[in-house]
Parts: sequence; structure tokens; C-alpha cells
Amino acid sequence: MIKKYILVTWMMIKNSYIRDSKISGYIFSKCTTQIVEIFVNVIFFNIIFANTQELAGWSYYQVLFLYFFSRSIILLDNAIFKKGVNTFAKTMIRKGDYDFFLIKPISPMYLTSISSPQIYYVISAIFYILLAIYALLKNGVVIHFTSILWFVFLSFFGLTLYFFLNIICVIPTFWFIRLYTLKDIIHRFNGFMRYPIGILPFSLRFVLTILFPIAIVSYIPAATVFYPPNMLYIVYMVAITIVFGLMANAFWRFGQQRYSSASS
Amino acid sequence: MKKYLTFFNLYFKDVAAYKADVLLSMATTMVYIFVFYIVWKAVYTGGNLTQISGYTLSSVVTYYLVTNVFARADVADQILLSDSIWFGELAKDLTRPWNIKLTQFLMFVGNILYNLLMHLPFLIILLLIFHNFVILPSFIYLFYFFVTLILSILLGMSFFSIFHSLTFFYGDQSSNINLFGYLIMGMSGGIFPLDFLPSNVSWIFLHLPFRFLVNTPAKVFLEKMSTGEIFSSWLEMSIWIIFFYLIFHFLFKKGLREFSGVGL
Repeated sequence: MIKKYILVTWMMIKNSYIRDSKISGYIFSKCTTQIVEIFVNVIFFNIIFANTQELAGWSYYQVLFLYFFSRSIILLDNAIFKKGVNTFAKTMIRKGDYDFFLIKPISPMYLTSISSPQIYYVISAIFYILLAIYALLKNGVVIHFTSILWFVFLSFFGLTLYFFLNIICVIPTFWFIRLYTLKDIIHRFNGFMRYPIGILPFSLRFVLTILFPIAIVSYIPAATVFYPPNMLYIVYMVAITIVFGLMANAFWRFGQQRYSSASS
Repeated sequence: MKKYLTFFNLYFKDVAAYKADVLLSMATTMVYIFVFYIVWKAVYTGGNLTQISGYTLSSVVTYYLVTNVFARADVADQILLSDSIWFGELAKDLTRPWNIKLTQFLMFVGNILYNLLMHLPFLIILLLIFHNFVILPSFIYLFYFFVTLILSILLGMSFFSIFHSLTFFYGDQSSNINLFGYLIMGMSGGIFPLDFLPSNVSWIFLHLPFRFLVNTPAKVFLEKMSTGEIFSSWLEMSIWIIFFYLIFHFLFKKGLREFSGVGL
């Protein structure tokens, strides 16, 4: 069962690599955009920290680490799932292409998401990961090996939770066929991933950590690096990822009942 | 003249056909304002500050509300020339009894007008939410602001049209338009007021024409410029518009000779 999923994922990634390697100019331009984004945002953080010592108890390099790490999560998601999810929201239901995914012996939700990887995003993600390591080293605090292990473990759940949140955002496409903005909703909330949760007012903190927990995608893994592992946080991260995974699956199946092929 | 009015009227009706998508897009983009507000509030309260480079928290909130209008107008994305060349649509236009540059301009105006109209209800909601922070200008400065707004939109159009006309020679320019769109958003003051930059960096930004796109209109709205400075800005903006337009005109003319009508 799992072997089948791994095989399909590998085939899609390989196909993406072959396709993307033929459009080097486009990829260069996309990667340059990421560098420009880093440049602009680092200036922004410099302006912020020229006026304050810390943000909700987080220093300049800690916030930089959080920003670079959150971008890494987003870019890894972009590399594997973004285009597939976008295509689902934009054309699959409207044109009836979803038929193709329904007749395959694999979860249609997973298959649509993995259908168009853009593997070149990994280049930018690696760049961000290296910058995150740089920010970590510049922060100058000794980091324990167990903290790194917890960080890697929680990062996996962060990436998975981000994927499920993205899926939940686009599921209404089954009802509202021509509502393209659904695919962009998650990106509008990305800004909350780059700052410590402590700066959020209580009401927004409640929304962004429980109802639509995008703020914890990057915050909980990053906090584990700087502070002693908090078991409550770790259990919460795992539990909420599972809950949102189950919700995404159930909601998808429910929406799928609304689907009537455009060609039939 | 009548045929262009009819063209504009029909195009505007066409654009306005799918309101729900644009309304959802406008609603979700309000998130950006909240992110910036929360961050700057944390900076002002965390650093016990009343002003940063002459900006109070109210000035900053007003600044972002004004810049949000520009972001929603989304000048770079409202020019349709690149797609028209790349997908061969331009070939049809060449056979029609109208001026292509003028129809492209009318479509651009239609898109901008529609976006601004759709943003209006959300702007009112934002004004109500942030009413304690919003600084409104006097009547005369409001007039100056609208003139500056129109000039800045024309400046953005003339600049980005150059990239669109490059499609004639180098194919799809969407990734480059995206790249420069992001770069210029940062350089124009779309992410932070340019006055916040340290003087050794700000002189670069303040000598480029991109400051006129966002920073200058926002400063006019906040009454941070004298009447003399505003008139001098208008003159400079007009010169830049003509300069960029002439480059575009040259490229467009040369490009038309090379145009082979892809897809025909």
C-alpha cells in the first residue's frame, strides 16, 4: 500500500525534474525572485530590530530563523503539492479532469496534490534552510542534540499540517466551481508563520492556533530549538495534525459527492 | 471615439461577470493589513516608542491602508499585453479596426477600476476597524492624493509595459514580470515606509523612480510633503512616464515587425 504511494510520488517527481530541466531560464528567474524576497524581508526585519530589542521575547536572529524556517516549509510544500492543488482549484473540477483521478487506485486527494510537482522550488528551499542554519549559528545559544531531533520530528508534522490546511482551503471548489481565489487563501495567511505567536492578540491567537492553526506550523518546531522541549506543545502538534488530516479526508469525500463530471 | 467607449463598456461588463472570486480575493487580502498592524504595534509598544522617523503608530497604520489600495490595484498584473502576444491573441487584434495600444490601455483601466471598486467595501470595513488610527487628509491634500494616485498608476503601467513588450523578442515574460513586481514592491515602499530606512541605504531608494509608485502617494495622503514638493514630484513622475513610454513604444513597434502570431 505505502510502496504504491512512494512509487507514484517518485514517478511524479522524476517527471517534474525532466520537465523543469528544460526551462532553465524560467527556473533561474523564479529562484532570483526568492533571493529578492529574502533581500526585501531582511531589510524589513532590520528596520524592526533597529527600533526594538525583541519581538515577544524573540531576538533578531531567532525571528530570522523563524522566517527562514517558515519559508522552507512553504517552499517544500510548493515543490511537491502547490501546483497540483492549484490546478484542482482552478480547472480540474470545472473542466471535468478530476475524472482521471477518480479511477486510479490511489486516494484522489493525494493524487491530485502530487500530480504536478515543481521540484525546482527545492533549490530555493535549500537556500532558505542554509540561511536558517546561519541565523541559528549567529544566535549564539548552545543547542542540544535532543532539541534538534525534536525539531526535525515536529518539522515533518508542520509540513504535513500545512498541506492539510491548504487542502481544506480548496475543498469548497466542489461547490463553488469558479472561485479561483480558494487556491490563494493559505498564502494570504503565510505572513503569520514568520512571527512569534506572542505578538498576536488573544482572539487571533485562538483562531490561528486552534481553528486554523497556521501559526503553529513553524512556531512550535522553531521554539523547540531555542527553548527546552515542551511536551504539551509536542503532543498538541501531533494531535492537531492528525485531527486536521482526518478532517481534510472526510471533508474531501463529502465534497466529492457533489462532483458530477463536466463531460458526462 | 464611440467605438472605444463601446469597447470599454463591453470589456468592463466582461470583467465584472465573476464578482464572487474578486470579492473573496479582496476579503482575504485584508489579512496583510492585520499582519503589519500586529507587528508594528509590537514594535511600538515593545520599544516604548511614540514615533519612528516621524511616523506614529497611527501614521504607519494609515500608510499601510493607503499602500493596500495600490496593492489591490495590482498594476503589474493588469496589463494583458504579454499574454496577448504569447498566446497569439494579438494577431486577431491586428486585423481589427482599432489602435492596439489604446485598447490595451482601456482594458488596463477597466481592470484597475474594477479592482478598486471591488476593494471599496473592504476599505470601508478596514477604516471602521482602524478608525482610532486612521489619519485623514484635508480636502486639498485628498485632491493632491488622487492626482498622485493616477500618475503613479500610469507610471507603473508605462514601466511594466516594457517587460510585456519583451515577449515579442524573448517569449513568455511572466516570471520576469513577477520578479520585478516583487522587487519594485519593496523598492517603492509597499512593504515599509522608505523613511524608515537608514540614510546610507535610503538615498538609493529615494533616487529611483519607483518611490513614486507607493511611497510618494502615501506620503501625500499623510500630508508629509509640502505643496512645492508635490508639484515637483508630479513633474518628475510625468517625465518618467514619458521616458518609459518611449522605450515601450520603440520596443512595441520593433516587436510588431517580428511578431509571427504564435498559435495561428
